[in-house]
Amino acid sequence: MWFNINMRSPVPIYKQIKRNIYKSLLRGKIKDGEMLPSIRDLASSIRVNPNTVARAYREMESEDIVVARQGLGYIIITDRNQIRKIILEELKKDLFDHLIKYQKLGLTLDEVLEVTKTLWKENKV
Amino acid sequence: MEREQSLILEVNNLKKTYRNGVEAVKGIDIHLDSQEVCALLGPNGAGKTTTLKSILDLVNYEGEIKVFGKPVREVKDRISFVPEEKLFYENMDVNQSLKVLNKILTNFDNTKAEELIKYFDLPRNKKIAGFSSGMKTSAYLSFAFAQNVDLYILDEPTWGLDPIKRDDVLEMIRQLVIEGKSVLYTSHIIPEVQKIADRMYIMHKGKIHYSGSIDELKEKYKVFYMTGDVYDELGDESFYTVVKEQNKISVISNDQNQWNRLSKINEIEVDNCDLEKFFQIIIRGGLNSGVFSNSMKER
Repeated sequence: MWFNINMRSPVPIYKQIKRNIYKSLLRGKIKDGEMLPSIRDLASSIRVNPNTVARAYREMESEDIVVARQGLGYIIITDRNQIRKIILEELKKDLFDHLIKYQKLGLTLDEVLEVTKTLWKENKV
Repeated sequence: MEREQSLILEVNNLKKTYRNGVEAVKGIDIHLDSQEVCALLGPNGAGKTTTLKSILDLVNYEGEIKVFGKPVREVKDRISFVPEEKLFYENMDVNQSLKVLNKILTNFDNTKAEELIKYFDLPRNKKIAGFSSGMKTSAYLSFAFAQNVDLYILDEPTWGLDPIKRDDVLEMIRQLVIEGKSVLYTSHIIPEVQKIADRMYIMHKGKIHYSGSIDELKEKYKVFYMTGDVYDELGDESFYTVVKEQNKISVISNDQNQWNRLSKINEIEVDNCDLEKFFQIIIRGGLNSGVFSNSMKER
């Protein structure tokens, strides 16, 4: 497994790891019942410290996305719906600063929604 | 699970006063877990080198230091060190140094040393005393990384290196932890710490002003900028750190309720926290980390 990590991003590294794994799950690249790469292998592949990968895996364990099996590694035990819920929570946090900024400039909710809708349609993938 | 967490280094209430009365270290705590890269970050004269020298038992000190749970003199063969003052191999060339290292160290991997010397493109028959500072650093790193130990202690390991080699050295440090080793190093260069440190200690004037990870910094802190007038109007708010620079006040807050309050004020600009901003504000503020209340602004 490989994905890019941006050391300069305001998003913590362990969160970038989690998000990329969520992405792989949503796209069906890894599935329920399959194993995540070992901490060492993923750390080596994406060039981050093993401690950071371990933290990402531990958090995913506490969110019931993976389960640790002694001597084997981390096994995925979740479905897409669970991941969608987590991503919606993250979206909330991501949007907070931006929305406040435009609120302070005096834009209305309708105006912001209109822009969001237009952008959403124009860039539909 | 597949990783064993254990304490590699424990420093409790370390103090060091030199004979001339200079208090270089004023009571600090440090700990390092296995497979961790830990950085001591601070401006020159912060006390970083003295801290490393104390850990290695090269100077007298007050306080308690344990490495692998033991006094350092019992575990010296499990540690490799790159000093700041590179005098040890002065009168030798690279070939002579390798000969000596092979003779005195049982854990010295000569093949690895040869690879590193080739990578750094070091001359074999020139006295190390005549090397540039970057070449000296490269030589010392080659000798240190070729030792198969559990803990690497590196004082300014990128001193004098060009940007490409500097980056490669950081990746070499990362490779050490991927292979199960632990690293403690000093730096005064923020991007170097940002790139590889699991945990960092910000040191200034002999004290530690912050300890934690870069990820924690990004999550738990925000920076707010405002004018003096707006700051005065905030009344009783107290902040993690405040610094006044020319006509702007920079505030660091670690209180999420406060973030929401401040974000809603039109005249205040909010920004994510990163190491660069955090370090600047902490050092310029020259304060103990912790709450700095509004009432101190007359200072």
